[in-house]
Amino acid sequence: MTLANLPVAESILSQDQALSLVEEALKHSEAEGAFVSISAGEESLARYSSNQITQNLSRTRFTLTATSYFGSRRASASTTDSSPQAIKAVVRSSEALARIAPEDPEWVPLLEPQTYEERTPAFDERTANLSPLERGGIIQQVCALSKSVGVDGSGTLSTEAYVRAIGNSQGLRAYNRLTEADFGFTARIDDGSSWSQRTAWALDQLPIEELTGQIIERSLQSRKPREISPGSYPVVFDGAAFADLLSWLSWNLDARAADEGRSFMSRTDKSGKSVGNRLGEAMFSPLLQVQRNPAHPLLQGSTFFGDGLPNCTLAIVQDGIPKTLSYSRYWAQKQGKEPTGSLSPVVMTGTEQNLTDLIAQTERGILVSRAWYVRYVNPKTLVLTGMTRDGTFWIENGKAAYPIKNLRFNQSLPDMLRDVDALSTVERYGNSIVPGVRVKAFNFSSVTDSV
Amino acid sequence: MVQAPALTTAASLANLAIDLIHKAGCAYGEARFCIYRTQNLYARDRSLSNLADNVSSGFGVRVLLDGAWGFAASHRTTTTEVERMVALAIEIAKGSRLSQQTRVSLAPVKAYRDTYVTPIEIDPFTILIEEKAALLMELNERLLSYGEQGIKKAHSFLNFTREEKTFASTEGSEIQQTIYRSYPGFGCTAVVNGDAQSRGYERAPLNLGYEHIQAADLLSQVDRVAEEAIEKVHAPKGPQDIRTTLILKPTNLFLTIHESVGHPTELDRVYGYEANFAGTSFATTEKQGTLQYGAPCINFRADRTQAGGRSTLGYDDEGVPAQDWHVVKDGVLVDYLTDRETAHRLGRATSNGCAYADSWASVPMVRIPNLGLDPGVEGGSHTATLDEMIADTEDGILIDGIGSFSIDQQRRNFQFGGDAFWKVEKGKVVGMLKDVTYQAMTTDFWNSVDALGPASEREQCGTNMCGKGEPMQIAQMTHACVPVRVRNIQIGGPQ
Repeated sequence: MTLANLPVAESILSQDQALSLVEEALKHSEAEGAFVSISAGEESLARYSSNQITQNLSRTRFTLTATSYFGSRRASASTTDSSPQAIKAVVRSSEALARIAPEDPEWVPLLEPQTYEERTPAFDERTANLSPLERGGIIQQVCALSKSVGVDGSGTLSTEAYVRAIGNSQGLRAYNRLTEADFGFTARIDDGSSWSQRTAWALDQLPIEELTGQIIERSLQSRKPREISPGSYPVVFDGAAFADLLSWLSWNLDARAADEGRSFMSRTDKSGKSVGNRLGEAMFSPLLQVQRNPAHPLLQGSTFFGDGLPNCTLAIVQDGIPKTLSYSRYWAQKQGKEPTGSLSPVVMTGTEQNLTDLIAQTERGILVSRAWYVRYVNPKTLVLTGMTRDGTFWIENGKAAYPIKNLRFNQSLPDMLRDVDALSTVERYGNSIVPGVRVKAFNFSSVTDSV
Repeated sequence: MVQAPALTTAASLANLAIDLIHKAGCAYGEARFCIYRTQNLYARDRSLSNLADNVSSGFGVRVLLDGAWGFAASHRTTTTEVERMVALAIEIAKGSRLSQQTRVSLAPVKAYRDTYVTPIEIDPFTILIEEKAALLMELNERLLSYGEQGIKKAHSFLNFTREEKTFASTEGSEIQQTIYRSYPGFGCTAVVNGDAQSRGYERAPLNLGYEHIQAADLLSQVDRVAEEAIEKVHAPKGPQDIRTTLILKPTNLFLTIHESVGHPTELDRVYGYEANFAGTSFATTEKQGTLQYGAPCINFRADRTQAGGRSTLGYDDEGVPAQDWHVVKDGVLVDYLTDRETAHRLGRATSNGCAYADSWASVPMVRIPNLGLDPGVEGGSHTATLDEMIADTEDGILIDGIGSFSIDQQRRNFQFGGDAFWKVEKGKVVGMLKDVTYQAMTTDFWNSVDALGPASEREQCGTNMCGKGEPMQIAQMTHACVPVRVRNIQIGGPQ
């Protein structure tokens, strides 16, 4: 029988292998222009609940996407088959579609070769090669710790090694190879619950044991929650909770939506007519410093985006003032701006204070550990709703005095960011680096018994 | 399109995997070989910004070794890779075994050797791209013709999928299924006086062929949708912090059913499998048979056999036949949505067939099937048409389509918006509103329903975007339902 544990680092595509496949696809192209991208890798993830693994997987994936251009006509096709026949066929398929596609008034020429940051994204051999038994062993320890104190432990441990490669008929070429590891843990006991999650580019950077201990402790403290009346309160957000709110800012900084009058960043004149955007306006707390920074030490991520634009450091908010919006290549060309690509990964500057310091500086308020099911109420004004979850506490005289029942919020995100008055140290959550924050006023509208 | 391996090849490779799993001494094992072809067209304003035809093919192997799960998947459909993935799945199961507290057992299932193909009239992949693209460009052009009145954005889409699955298991099953899916829709945004408001129309995602697209129907809705977007952007904001009567069309109600009935009755959530992410459930098993989920006129029925349903098929992804059963009967919680593992835990004789994996690379898990609200009984005291509900309402709000949606992790406290809102006064619709949300606790809401539409007003609404699990999987299902009237519901929150 074939060896199951072929070293992943050896099995994923090298730069030569990936770019050779890109070249092969481009060689087959009969279109006026062609763009090829490859996404491939190995991913493993174990889920556990009630202190045992309930789902445990590994998967090997490969996708090659070909986009063909005839004048301003374009279309794409993709395949998961890396054979020469499949690659040729997928190029032909994209060409057949592109030939009959309508002329695109928003067409932009293919990108010329780009200059990317001279750095190598992080790739950790141990993360790439973690065996199923090693993964199971780590979770076994987390579960044993949970069980020893009567806590029902749930969560995930995942590792991934992946490559991204792109090329086009103008000579553009790029390749990145990366790793990522993620640990999530929920501790439940009686009517108490607590959660957190961390992401890193190397498994060894995840504070699994420390975080497990902290979350178990917080779950014990979260039992017997009291009910408080909904209303407006000062709130301290754990970084994990704030990360799920701040991401809505970067998703809503699209320049086209702003310029077309569809965004909170739209500017209107006295007659209500849309007149550009609010870049340069002091909209948020002066404490807010937000960048796109894939080179951050905790990220060390991709040097390019999927369309070939460079993913480099970019100031998004400085001293509370929005400095850029996200410009697609089409909209940038139309507005006479430089295209930016996506504003991810978001990196917000923190301080040396920890979350306990923020709580200590708070006379009365609420500590929110997790924001859940956050959705638009009004996409134009960026009013959001969502729930607290997994450890909500009443703060009194600088301490988390007692747990409280979970609350629904309805809150303007721009107002919330305006009202930020303290920051803690930063952590990585998913693909974002954010601190915990304190907000002067945050609106809660109803209560739930749900734990 | 890209030439895919023949299904006979998939069947032989699947049987190879099953042989290897048997030889390794696993208590259970399954292999799924899948080929997904998706064709997506999306038009934004006058640009067909996405025209893509994608094929994703590969296989997944799941084994149960000493009561512990292991799953491995690969895009390489070769004999060597099948051997490697079976070996890897077994290694993974050994890793799972390390933390084992209780051995996994499965409810029994018979062996089936069968095929299933979604009944369709027109294969969507045989229709010319030019025809599809022209439809979207015409929809958008006609929406944008309202530019003077404020329509500044238009979008439209067509999505088609063909899923070919070959399933084999150590139970002796070998099942080949081909599932077709079609989904069209469009929308526009009016930008006026510093506000932006959208309105849309879709023919719900269903398992049908191109006959579902109905270009004439789509085009016939354009003027209404554009005019309502314009009326909406000029409309007054909805009331804040009041309680009132709601009349909900099926296009809005389906999502409330999905979130407040579908998810809390997924038995894996009830048992805590989703505690770290999607959440658990208030509808715990000791309440089965006693929880007054809704008013006595409320019946929620799961049905994977209904024609066109988005989760309609022959067998689920554990080889369990499609079924039809009540989850809530006469207002009382009577059953759950199960896979084989959770069915065994509950003590059911068999699973009711809700296992679904969204890809060859995904593990089957409990997903909401088609879950609908039965129409009001003909001649029943709570049965009323939409017009009769409106005529019988002194003061309320009528809601169509979906908008904002959020619910807590145990599925009690929810808040929903909509796509369009009308004020109802003294039995008449008197004008549009905007920015309306309604908030309630699940069982309070369903116990406050006092009128249900008749069977003639049943609509097969649904979603193709239900996220759950880690890694996240996207499931698709239909929530066929009728209009309802609900009394004394909280409206609005701070804006």
